[in-house]
Amino acid sequence: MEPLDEELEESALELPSEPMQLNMGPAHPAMHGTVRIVLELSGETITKADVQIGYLHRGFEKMCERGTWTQCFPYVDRLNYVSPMLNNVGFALAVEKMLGVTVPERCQYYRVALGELARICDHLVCNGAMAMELGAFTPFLYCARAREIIWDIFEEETGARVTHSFGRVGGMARPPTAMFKDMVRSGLPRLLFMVGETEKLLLKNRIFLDRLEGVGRVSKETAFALGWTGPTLRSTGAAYDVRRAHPYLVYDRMEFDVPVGSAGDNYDRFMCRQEEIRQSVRILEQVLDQMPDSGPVNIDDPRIVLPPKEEVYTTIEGTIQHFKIVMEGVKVPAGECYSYTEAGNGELGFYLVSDGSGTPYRVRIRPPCFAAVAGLQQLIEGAMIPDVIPTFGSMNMIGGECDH
Amino acid sequence: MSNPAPTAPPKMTIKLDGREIPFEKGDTIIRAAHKAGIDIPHYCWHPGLSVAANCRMCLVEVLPPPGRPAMQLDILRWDPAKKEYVPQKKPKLLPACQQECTPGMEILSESSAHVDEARGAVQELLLLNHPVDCPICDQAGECRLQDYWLEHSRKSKRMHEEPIHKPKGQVFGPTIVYDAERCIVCTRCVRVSAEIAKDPVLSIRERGNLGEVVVAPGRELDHDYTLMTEHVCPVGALTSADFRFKARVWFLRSARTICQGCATGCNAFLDYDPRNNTPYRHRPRDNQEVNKYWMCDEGMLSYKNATEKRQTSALVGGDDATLAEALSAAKEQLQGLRDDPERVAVILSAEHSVEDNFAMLTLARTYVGATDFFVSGKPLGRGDAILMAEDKIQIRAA
Repeated sequence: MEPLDEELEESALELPSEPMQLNMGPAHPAMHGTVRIVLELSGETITKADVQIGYLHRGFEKMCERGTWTQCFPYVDRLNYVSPMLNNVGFALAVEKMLGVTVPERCQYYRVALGELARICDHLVCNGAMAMELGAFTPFLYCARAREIIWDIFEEETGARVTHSFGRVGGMARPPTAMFKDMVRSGLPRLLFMVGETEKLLLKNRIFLDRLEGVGRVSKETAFALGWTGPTLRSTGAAYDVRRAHPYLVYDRMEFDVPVGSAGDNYDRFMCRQEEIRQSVRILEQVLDQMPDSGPVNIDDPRIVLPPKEEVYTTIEGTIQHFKIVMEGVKVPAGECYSYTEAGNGELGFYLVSDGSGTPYRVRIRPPCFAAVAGLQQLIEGAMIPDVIPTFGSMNMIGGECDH
Repeated sequence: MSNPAPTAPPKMTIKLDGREIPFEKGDTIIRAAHKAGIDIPHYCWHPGLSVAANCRMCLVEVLPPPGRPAMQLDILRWDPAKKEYVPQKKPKLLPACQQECTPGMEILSESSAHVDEARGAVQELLLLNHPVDCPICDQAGECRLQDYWLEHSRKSKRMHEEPIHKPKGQVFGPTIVYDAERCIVCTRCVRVSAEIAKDPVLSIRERGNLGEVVVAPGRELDHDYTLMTEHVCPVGALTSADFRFKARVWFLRSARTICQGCATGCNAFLDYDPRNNTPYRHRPRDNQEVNKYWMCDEGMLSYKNATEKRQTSALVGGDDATLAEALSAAKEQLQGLRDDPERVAVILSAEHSVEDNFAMLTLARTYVGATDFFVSGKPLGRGDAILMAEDKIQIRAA
């Protein structure tokens, strides 16, 4: 034991100080994505932030180069796994763009309907999780309950609740079930009720508002410079929505508003998503009115679409058609294309290169949340540690699509 | 005095789908196209065989000479609006495998709707009684019926009666198993036997739906080129007993090789599975100077020598050893022989390259001091006037 009454120079008592380093993630309960943020702190203020992604990198783009075009669908399911149907539709549209084919009208409506249901799921999860990370557990359960309504519909339609792998080049795996319209029609009011209940719990809560309003503020110019799209961009006041700016499928026949914010803070991002849920419901109601109840869902081209299973088992023509598509893949003409759709987080782009064979030569994704996460650093530098949670939450980083 | 340079005869050309392609006197349309790298769909035609013109897949539209009317046929065509057959005319199509080229001839192949329709119809008829065998058929993946259906027909079945049944799994001989239901009776195998193997052991029985290939009574398909009948079969009717059910062709990769069977040195492809590095078959590789399109059965089956009955690792006294151990054991045993060279004899091999043998010779002379040398080889075997050389040492190929 050293003696305590040691004679010391005055200067020796001033301990050398360095800024504190804090690792948030990659497995932090409040980070709803596998991501690490290395924070340099001065007290509780963040002086420097280093956002490190890549913990969910699976080499999706490279994996796509091994199988056929159709075999990419399970991979794209797992990009944004919160709204897999939007990825399915986006990828199918990209391949169809290269093939120069358009799916029948009934399929276009069906894709819009399933896509909007997925978008609602995406926003419910993002906002619900954000609230939960701020301590509001009940709204999260309300959102999860609302999502359950949609998942039941998906389960009925596709057979899977989460990763459906339901898209196909030239159509969908199956036509809509007879119950589809009724299920959506009866589900939407219940869903809106729960969305309303969620808002009642949150939007008059001082703690929740204090942690959202004015936090993580970003200007329209910065958002553009960062390549932001989707709710994060719209929260800054820029009304860019691919569905409106470059309509695809039957979005040009739909009446809906593009909600925008003004401050570009966490609150605006939260509210944009909430409003988009309501707009999606609006689109869904129109789709249900306009969608034909009969007619083909898949295009009529044996080079692209699989034959009915009973023909495969009983006729040689069906067997050959099945064999050629399964073993060799759909032959996509040589060339390249960029196709983009509005996914839950913004512009989901697929850049594809084909060498004319049944296998993609190159698949490249433009995940919307990649740009959003790239801007996270400048949003949280200068803020406090607790601000990281809602700000990161409102970026809605999905590791599956971000780490590509 | 200088002779004027001989003027080259003007190049004769035909026009196929608007593209000028040259031909030589006697060339048929399909051969001229084949030389120019254009594939006119066909089953029965083979560049190395005589013309049968029975599959009708290569039908093309030959435009009449300028100023002459086109040859036309009266037909009845179904009019879906009137719901009845209406009389119409369509051009008479000609088989590209049989029609000789004449200078300036204009031919429509891909660009003619009539040709397209005819090919679709031929394809539909060929599949009328075809069994649903793709999942168990060795040909699947390299089958003309599959390829051409997708390219030229793309129609689903219209005849839903029970198809005609014929014998399956008939053993034609030691190497070939025949499935009559898959057969399109193109007679390629019949012609290979008669024209290449000079043994007309195969023939066709019956006609139309009932047609099938049969072996001459009292005979087996057992000449030296039986596997060529399987090789030319455009569908899965003739299958090789050796390759049957062994591998699926889409898993195989091809490497260019030369057959090691005899001094002819036929050019071949070795098809192997990259997953287990196992060869599964030879396929002849076209070389007009050596083997044309063909290979003998012995050579076709010689791919097994790459893995079977082959020393692939070093031995010391009959036991497995590493290369380093074997070399040091050899060094030990060969040391000190210089004083008494008669105790050692060195065997060179006629199947090694000159370089290998020279290295061996140098080593034996300088290090071991050997004086006795022998050359091993293979005895002469059976040969024929087609491809098989009596000399079974491949390295002596010309």
